[in-house]
Amino acid sequence: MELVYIAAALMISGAAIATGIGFGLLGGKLLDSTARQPELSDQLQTKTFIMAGLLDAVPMIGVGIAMYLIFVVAGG
Amino acid sequence: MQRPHRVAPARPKRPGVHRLLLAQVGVILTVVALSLIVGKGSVTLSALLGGLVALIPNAWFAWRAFMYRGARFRARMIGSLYRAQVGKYMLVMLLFAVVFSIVPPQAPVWFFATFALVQGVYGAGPWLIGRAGSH
Repeated sequence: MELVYIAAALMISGAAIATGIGFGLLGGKLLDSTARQPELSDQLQTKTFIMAGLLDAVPMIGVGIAMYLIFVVAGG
Repeated sequence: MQRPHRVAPARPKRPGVHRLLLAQVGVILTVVALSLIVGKGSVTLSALLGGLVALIPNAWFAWRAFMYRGARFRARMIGSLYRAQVGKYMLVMLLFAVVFSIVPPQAPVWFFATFALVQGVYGAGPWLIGRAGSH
């Protein structure tokens, strides 16, 4: 049973690390390109928003499955 | 003597993010309708909960990410984007915990499928929002 918790912890931490790295890169590029071309800032922000949504779609599913393991599989 | 003409600063328009959220609501309603045809009430509840767990954090993210616009506020814009993402992550975990501890889904496949479909609407983001930020 402990293995389920370890697996869930690995999934949640992996998702958090992946999202963090992705958002760091995305935010850095947004800041860089907004400083370079301020007139495009609105377009860049909207594109960043869409990319952010795509970026964390798969990690969020991983988090969901991890929570399912914790609360339903291990808890039930 | 002519008085100086005062003009309120133009406020940048928000992009059509609401269209993305409406498309997500549409996906939820479609899957719920499909589950009503195919399965039982428990399947419908699972699909609905899966959709809501994805939709509520996305609505928060869309609201929080666009609090600041314009190149002058770029530092605040980035900070707002990061806070939006942290809030979304926490909200998703909280909602998953609440759903799984109070109403464990009887049809987990439908639950996660609806969740994934609602998240996947971002793939149609450029088409839904149009030429991003150009209006």
